[in-house]
Amino acid sequence: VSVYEQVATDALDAISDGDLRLAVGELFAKAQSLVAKGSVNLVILAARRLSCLYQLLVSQGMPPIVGCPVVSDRFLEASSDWDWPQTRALVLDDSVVVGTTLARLHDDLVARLSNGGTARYLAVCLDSEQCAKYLLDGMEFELLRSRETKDVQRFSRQVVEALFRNQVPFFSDFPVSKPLLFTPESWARYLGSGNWHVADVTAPLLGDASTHAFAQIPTSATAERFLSRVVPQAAWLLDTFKIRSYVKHDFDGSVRVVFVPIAMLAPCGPDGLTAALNAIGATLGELGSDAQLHWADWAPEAKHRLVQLYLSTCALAEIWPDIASAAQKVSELTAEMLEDLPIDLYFGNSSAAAVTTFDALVTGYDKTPTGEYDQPPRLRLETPLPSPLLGHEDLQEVLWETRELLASIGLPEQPSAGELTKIGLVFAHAISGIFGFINRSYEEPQRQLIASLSSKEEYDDLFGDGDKRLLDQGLTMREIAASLTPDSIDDSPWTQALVSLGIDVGNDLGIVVPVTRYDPKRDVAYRCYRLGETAELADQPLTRAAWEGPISARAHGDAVTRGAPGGYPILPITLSIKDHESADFQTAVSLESLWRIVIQAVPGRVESCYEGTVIDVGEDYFEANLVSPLGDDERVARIGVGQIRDEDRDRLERGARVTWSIFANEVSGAKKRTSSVRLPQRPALKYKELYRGVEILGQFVRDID
Amino acid sequence: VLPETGLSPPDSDELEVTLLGRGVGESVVVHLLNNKWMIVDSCRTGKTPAAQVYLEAIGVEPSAVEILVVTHFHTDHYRGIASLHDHYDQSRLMVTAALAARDFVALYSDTAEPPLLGEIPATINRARKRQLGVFTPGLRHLSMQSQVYRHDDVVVMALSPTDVAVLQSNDELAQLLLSTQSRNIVESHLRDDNRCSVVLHVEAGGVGALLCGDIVSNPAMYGWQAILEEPNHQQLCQSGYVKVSHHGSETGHDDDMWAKLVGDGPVLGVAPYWPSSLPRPDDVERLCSIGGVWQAAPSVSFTVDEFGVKLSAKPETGVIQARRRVGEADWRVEIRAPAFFACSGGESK
Repeated sequence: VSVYEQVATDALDAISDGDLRLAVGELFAKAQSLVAKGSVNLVILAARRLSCLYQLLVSQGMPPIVGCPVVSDRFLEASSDWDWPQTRALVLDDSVVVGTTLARLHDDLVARLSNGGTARYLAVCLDSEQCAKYLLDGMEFELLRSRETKDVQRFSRQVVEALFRNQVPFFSDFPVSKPLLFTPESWARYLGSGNWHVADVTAPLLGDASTHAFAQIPTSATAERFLSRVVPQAAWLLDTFKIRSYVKHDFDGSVRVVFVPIAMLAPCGPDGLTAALNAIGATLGELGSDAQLHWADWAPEAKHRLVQLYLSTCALAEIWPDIASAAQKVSELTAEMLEDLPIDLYFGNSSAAAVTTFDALVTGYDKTPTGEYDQPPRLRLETPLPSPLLGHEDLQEVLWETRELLASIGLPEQPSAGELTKIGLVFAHAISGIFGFINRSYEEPQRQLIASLSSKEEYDDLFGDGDKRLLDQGLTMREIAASLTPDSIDDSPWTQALVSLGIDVGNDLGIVVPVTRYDPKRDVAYRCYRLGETAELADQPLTRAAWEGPISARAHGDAVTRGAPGGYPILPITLSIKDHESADFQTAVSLESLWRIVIQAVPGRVESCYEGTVIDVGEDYFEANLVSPLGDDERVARIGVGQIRDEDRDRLERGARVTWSIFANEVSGAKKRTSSVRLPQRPALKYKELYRGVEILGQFVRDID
Repeated sequence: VLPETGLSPPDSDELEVTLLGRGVGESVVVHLLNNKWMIVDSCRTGKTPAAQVYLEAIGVEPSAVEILVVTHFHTDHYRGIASLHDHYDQSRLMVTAALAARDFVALYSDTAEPPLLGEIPATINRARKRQLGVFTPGLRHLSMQSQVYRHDDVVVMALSPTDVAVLQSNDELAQLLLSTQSRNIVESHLRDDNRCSVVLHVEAGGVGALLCGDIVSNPAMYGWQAILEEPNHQQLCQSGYVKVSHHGSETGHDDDMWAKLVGDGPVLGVAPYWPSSLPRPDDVERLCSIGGVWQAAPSVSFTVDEFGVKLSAKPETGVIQARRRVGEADWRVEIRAPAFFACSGGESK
């Protein structure tokens, strides 16, 4: 047994299939062997999960592959310095389910390689039931193991568990800190500092008494300070930012924490990205930095991720004084504090320049006084085409039911200093459950269709153009927020980040995968979320499981739902940080209790739903203009005031928003319909914020006229 | 979705004005001869903009649509405009000049859901970046005297809004934004403001059509009187087709307008607006005394459900297609249900 296989066997003890553990080690051993023989001069890790798995194994003592760059598939879009035609690429994958991802990567590589360039493929295991083997024809493809679907799914789940247990964040687009040590007291002091709101986003299934995941959302003051220290061209593009942390209480009493700063951009055009990168470069130049990443020829997606990386670095610099004052043996922030591998995997042969740039960015941020720049306007005028997923009527129904569920039980509240909010199972499941539903309703049938085809030509005819493949279809943060938490849009940083807290859970479980896309029609690069390989963990949206799931589903729920009897709080709770460690709040709740809460909030399957505006108010009625979520049905309704939810009645006035749902259920053979009328709260119009963009937009308008 | 229309495309020398309406929402499709098309306002039929459904049904290629107009900022006139702009990717977007005024532009920054101006700001932003030629940007703002289109004998002119209407409208919005943080109040105010609506006059070889948007008569400085007083409007040919203003409402009526801008026995297309039950019976009666009235959908019909909610019927999109060649005496009108011929000369048929 080689050292690769030995480390994999030991480090991946969460993976129950010992032979697959061995095969993971074998994968890297073979890769190293091919590099050593000179058969390969670039190793590409095909997906985010394998990149993280590689980091985990190297951190546990596996020798990294040496002799050529090892990169993630992100490198393909950010590799203008690389000599592709001469490349002898080896693509590694952990599991091949259908084969479409690998086939697309192959098409991309074939287009790049010529004049002697080659590509070969090596995978740990293949799903023998779902794989469309014709997609792999024509590839130099070597397979180490083959498994049935249920075994591949279990492998995927257990890889996720192994990553979490070993504090390897399931990210590939952001800097990752080396583990830092705190005492329990200094860690609690850090969390309670008051500059950031703290959310416990530990996923059901993953956490235990000693491991947690947190997200820190900036307070309004912190967000304003941050935005006033970042060049406006980049600040304009920022949607939201936060700090993730993966926490482990060691046996010796110390607290080991890995930090991931996350800055997410709103959708934006290539011109805006170029302006931001130029502005950042100019600022670094003024500071005397000669750091140079040659991004000019990068794809829009790669530029989008690079601006995110830059802003994430600044976010880490913003919180670093708090970290440094609490962590042990930590002083100033330099690239030394970061894990090397994520940088190498992302930047390949440019990683040295990336490291230099990181240090220069931190220096630049530290030297920039608060208030250096004006607050940027929050413009949301760049949007990609709406997701094709939102055209599915049944998905719209599930989104509506979920939105009503969240509106009824309440969203996670903003914690004060010294407190944290645990987001609760219903909220966590709401986001993940949408992707589980998409997986079960659309992805699985599409996989069957793909497997039934007989040639790549046939596949290309059906899926070659655009985004017809489900895995290419995602939802933007704004689409998710507009569908599930419309009341939370455009308010404090906390409410703006709410949906992202639910996504954090889905991300860590591998249910939700963040991807960056480019929409050529609207010339917009954007971040969105697609389903991951473990989406089946949450494939029964709570409203559906409560009302109409098969008996077995109703009895057992999906894997995430089963967090309830495991002690995961059902509803969001806010508690003091010191109480968090006591775990008193963890009370096992039976699934029957969970279903009762859901049924009370959403009394049946939605039969019709509309939202709109109150256009007239009478003594005991109001009139509203209503439109269905798909926009295909518009009505005018006169509704009795008595139908409005009690707590919303004060909001009744002309112009108020209104939602009207009819839920139907069948009890003992009798159909019961329930009407639910809500008047959601609307955020206030903020004069100053509205006018912040006028100068820019006004200039655009005048230019044209 | 529109039912199978069974309609064919116009000949290249036929002027066509087709009104699509459905109770809440209207859209006008205009053939400017030689397979050049203009869409004025948008509503949806199913998930797709009605104009797109119609144009696809008669076999018009996307590249043939050159102009999209948003007459004003009410949802029943712009719903689906973003999709139209994407689909007709060589078209130029033209919007009421009010949307370039400072305080309206401030509303572009609204990030609430749904934003106060809906899909308009993002569409305008994309139009701004759509360069159709070296000197031809993809966005124009229309006000009185803007030339919308000119090719051979075909001329489309904007007769409104007046500068005063835009300034006054903007000023009132500014005052409101200073005095309230309530979206409800601002939204209601915008909903009541029709004075910045664009009116279009289409002329092809002496054949005229008047597309009135939602322009209203009062106060005079914003409405028909101001339009009629403009010296350059004195030479306009009289129109034989009118897309009636403001869903047939009395508020859009002006005797002088009918006398000066419209010829005898015109074809009148009316799109109903259910929230206000427009057109009302007396509106229809008034219009019938002027010309032949075709209505895109019934004025309104309600049912009461088990919860006591009085709910309008599910809307379907009616089609009123009017065509006329240069030199022909009359417009030829075809309709598709639920559109119907309401009456003419005071008599219903």
